[in-house]
Amino acid sequence: MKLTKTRAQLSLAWASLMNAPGFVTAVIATLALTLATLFVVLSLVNSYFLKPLDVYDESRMVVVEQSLTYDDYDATGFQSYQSMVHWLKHNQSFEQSMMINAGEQIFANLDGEPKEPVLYVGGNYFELLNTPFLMGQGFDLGETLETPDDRVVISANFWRKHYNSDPNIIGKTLSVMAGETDYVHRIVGVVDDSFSPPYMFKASDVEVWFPSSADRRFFHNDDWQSPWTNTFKNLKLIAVLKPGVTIDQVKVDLKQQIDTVKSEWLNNGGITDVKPEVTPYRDVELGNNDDLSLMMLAGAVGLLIIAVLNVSTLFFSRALAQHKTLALQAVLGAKRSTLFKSIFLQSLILMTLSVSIALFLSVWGIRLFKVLAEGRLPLVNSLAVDSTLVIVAIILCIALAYIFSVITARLVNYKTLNTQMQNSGKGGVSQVSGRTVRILIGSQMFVAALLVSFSVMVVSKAMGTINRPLGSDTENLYFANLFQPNNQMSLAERYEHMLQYKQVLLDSQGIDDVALGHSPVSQRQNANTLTDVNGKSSIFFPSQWVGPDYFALVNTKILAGRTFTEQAIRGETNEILVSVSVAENLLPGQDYRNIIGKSYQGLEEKMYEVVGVTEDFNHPKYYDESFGRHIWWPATPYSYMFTIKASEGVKLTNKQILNTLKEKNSDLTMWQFNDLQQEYDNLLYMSRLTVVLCSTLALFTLLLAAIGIFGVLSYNLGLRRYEFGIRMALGAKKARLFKLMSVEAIIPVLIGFAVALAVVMIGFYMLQGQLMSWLILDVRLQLLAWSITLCIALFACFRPLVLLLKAKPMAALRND
Amino acid sequence: MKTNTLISLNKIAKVYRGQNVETYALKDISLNINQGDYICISGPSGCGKSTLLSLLGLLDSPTAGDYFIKEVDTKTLDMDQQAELRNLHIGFIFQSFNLIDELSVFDNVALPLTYREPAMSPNEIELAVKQALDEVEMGHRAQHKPNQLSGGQQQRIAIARALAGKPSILLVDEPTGNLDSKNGDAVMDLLDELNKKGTTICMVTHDLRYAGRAKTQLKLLDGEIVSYSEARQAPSSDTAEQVLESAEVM
Repeated sequence: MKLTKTRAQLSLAWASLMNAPGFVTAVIATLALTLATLFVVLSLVNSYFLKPLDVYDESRMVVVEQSLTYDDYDATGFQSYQSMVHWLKHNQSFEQSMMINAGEQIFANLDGEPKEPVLYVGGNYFELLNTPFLMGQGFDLGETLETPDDRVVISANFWRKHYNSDPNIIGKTLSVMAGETDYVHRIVGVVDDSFSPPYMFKASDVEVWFPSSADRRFFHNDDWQSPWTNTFKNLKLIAVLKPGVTIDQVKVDLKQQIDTVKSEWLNNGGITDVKPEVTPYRDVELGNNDDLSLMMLAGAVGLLIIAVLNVSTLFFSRALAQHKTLALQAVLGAKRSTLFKSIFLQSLILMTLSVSIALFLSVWGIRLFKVLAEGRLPLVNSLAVDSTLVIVAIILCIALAYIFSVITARLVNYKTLNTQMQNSGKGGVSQVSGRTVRILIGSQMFVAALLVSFSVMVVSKAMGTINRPLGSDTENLYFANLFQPNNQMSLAERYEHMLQYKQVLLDSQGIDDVALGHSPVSQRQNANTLTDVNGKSSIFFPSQWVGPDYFALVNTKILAGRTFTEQAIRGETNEILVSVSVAENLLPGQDYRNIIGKSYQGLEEKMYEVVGVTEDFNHPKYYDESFGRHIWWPATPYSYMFTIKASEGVKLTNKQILNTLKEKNSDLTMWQFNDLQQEYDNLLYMSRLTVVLCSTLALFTLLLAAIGIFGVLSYNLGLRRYEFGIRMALGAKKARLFKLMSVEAIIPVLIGFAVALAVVMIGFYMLQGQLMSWLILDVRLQLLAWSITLCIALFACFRPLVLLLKAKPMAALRND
Repeated sequence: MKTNTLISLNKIAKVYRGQNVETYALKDISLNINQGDYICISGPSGCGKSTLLSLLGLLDSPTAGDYFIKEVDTKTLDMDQQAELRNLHIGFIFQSFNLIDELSVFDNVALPLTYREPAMSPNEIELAVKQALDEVEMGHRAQHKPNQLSGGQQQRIAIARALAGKPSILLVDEPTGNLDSKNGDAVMDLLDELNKKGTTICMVTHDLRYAGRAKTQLKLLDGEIVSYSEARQAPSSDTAEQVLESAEVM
């Protein structure tokens, strides 16, 4: 029996919603998009805080690093092999342990001799990280550091890319370029695509794993003994503690162990103390990104609150529109609980649809997030729409349905519902309270103006980055960095070779020009200080190594002075060029030209003369720190760095350039090859994405606000048709009525708008420092946005009024 | 109270209190409505007809006096209990029909039955709806929407909705106000038929053509009953005024 009642109410709820497609669309669109965003972020939070890591035993796994104390400073997070090996072999605390370090290698036997990031790992790496294998296996458990291990494990992608998915890959070889003789390794395993290496090494694109003993920066390298001061950021010990052992106990144990070889490290390069740093594995893996995820969650929740506010206004308008139907139900005997149930069912239908669509969208959102965040955030691969997320979605669905029902029900005055039926079509002038209408309109305007202003500020920042002149061309430009292993030639000899290589490139098809010089748009920037003759050191300036003809090739203007001489490139003189901002920083208050001829201590503590001043160079990634400051060192040919201009329409490749130069010198190998335009586009990618997303957000917000304001006014004016009919019948002209109503509508719009602007301006100026990297106030763009926002809001105000006033007085009096 | 007394009003008053003014919409109304009565409430505009009807329908509460419906003192009832009583005993027919456009004719008529406690089974509801629609000769339009029907047909549906729950009394507010004379006649004929079959009707109307059809005339003026009479069956040549001239004050 109850089912019949519920079915009848469901039927009424559904039919009622179908009669209001605009309302339904607005609510579902708003909530589905907002909830989808929330679900994606919740998935990240779930991974960071709730889901266990897919490792051997997270509760007992730790990461061991070291802290080196020198005479006048401490260095933490940079490890020497000596400490790691000693702790690996001498400890009381670990059930299992292994070393791990990151590096790069050139693979000599592969087409194009690619340079790839690699990891050097202990034998239990694959077990500790639950590594799935497509074929073969990992290394033997435990470290075998005493003898070189010739095994190697590759990823499935590496196998497909370089071995054509050869089914007989196990046993095949991979050669590491190493001077006269390459090191040949046997492939023993292929790791499945589903595996993600630990984020702590920023090694999302690692596809090759060597045993630790293959790292010849320390092991089995007869040519060179790595000192204690030769430290590596990515070198770590990963260990599983014995049951019951605490981190404090581990620290004591490892300190005792390292002190037993104190004579080896004390005063070695100025070291006065070596201390172990032991951190839970999860903390190291997540870094500060759990804070980031919480910030993202706060942002997503904030967005949801705004969406709920917007949707509440829509529900409010809906409640007004439904007053008569609710009144009728009350007259026919529906109790308050029945009316609430009726409202709740409508709300529940809407929330169910919204949440379902949001879940569907979040699947795609998570995929997109994985693509965008791969390598930038940890545990990205573990994001998924799982049971936790679905449960949260269901809870949210019911909670939101209840919230909106309560909001609507509170607006429905049960007592006056009954009396509303008394009017019974006799030309009643029941209206919504004017105060309520004004609050609704004002709050809609406030929220919309706030969001639009915020979005425009973010867009302004992104547009600033995109539109800011780089200070260098990038189109049709490529960077090639080649080196010759075991090169014993003098700088002068290398210089001659470099000229020959340059000529070979110039003679090649498809190449218009070549200059010496490092890529201007690399992801990582070098930075150096300059010390003046008085011993005063400057701040760090981003720097780059270039040749004399570099500036002309990439169109970086030399504003004063000249470019490098040949002698500078050969290492016979020490010259430097600086950008205008550097000149102004070093000689504040003076003309930048005054810096020409001044000398500063730079690389290897040599004095460098400033021979030229260039325009500023604005690297997109570092502009907020450097503001165009840049120094140019002469590109002495320790390696052969070329900036190559391709002919129009020609696409150069790594392989093509390498093969061309190998004809001159077969020992040459390619260390780095980049398409500068592609690199520049990569740098601007996030900014461009931000522009698209924030612009969409702003437009969506405006649309919602317009619908909300239009809806509220439209319904309220509809209720006042009879009143307008009377006024018109009494002789009021349309213009007068228009003026009467427009003032009532415009004032809350303007107040809401003004308050939002005040909040935006005050907030911006108070938080400018913290928010500088995210948003800026571009006055022109902001004024444009505000104007558009106001226009849309005013249109939403005037449109219902215009429609109403078009009616003839008699029609209004009859409520036709 | 007689055993067939449905509604009993005793010294009912309704006062609307504004900031500085008190308006007596009804003063000292005492009235019994018995099973099978057909009462017409008339009077000039502002005399309290709608107020009296809304009190009868438990849409409002009197400021003073007692109101019994089926021997239940309505003063003791909370809003939910009033809703229950309204659903059980009172059928409403409005001037502007007040049908829900999103629902079919069948669902509109069934709506009050879905609020019934204890709940009715689907079969019971279906039977009641069919009977009500047959009563008003609108069974063939069960699946239509109200906006697909004429005014007269819509009013018939509204009457069916009021009848479906087999109420003790029908409260009818200006039933022909939105209808042309032909449809108005048809609706009034229907109400006459229903009363003949035993349905108690209390109607408010301005239309003197139809006022005379009721067996009892109640005239209000300034919130008070000025005339209460059993109107004789009007011969076709009599006007309504002539019928009402024979009324006596209660």
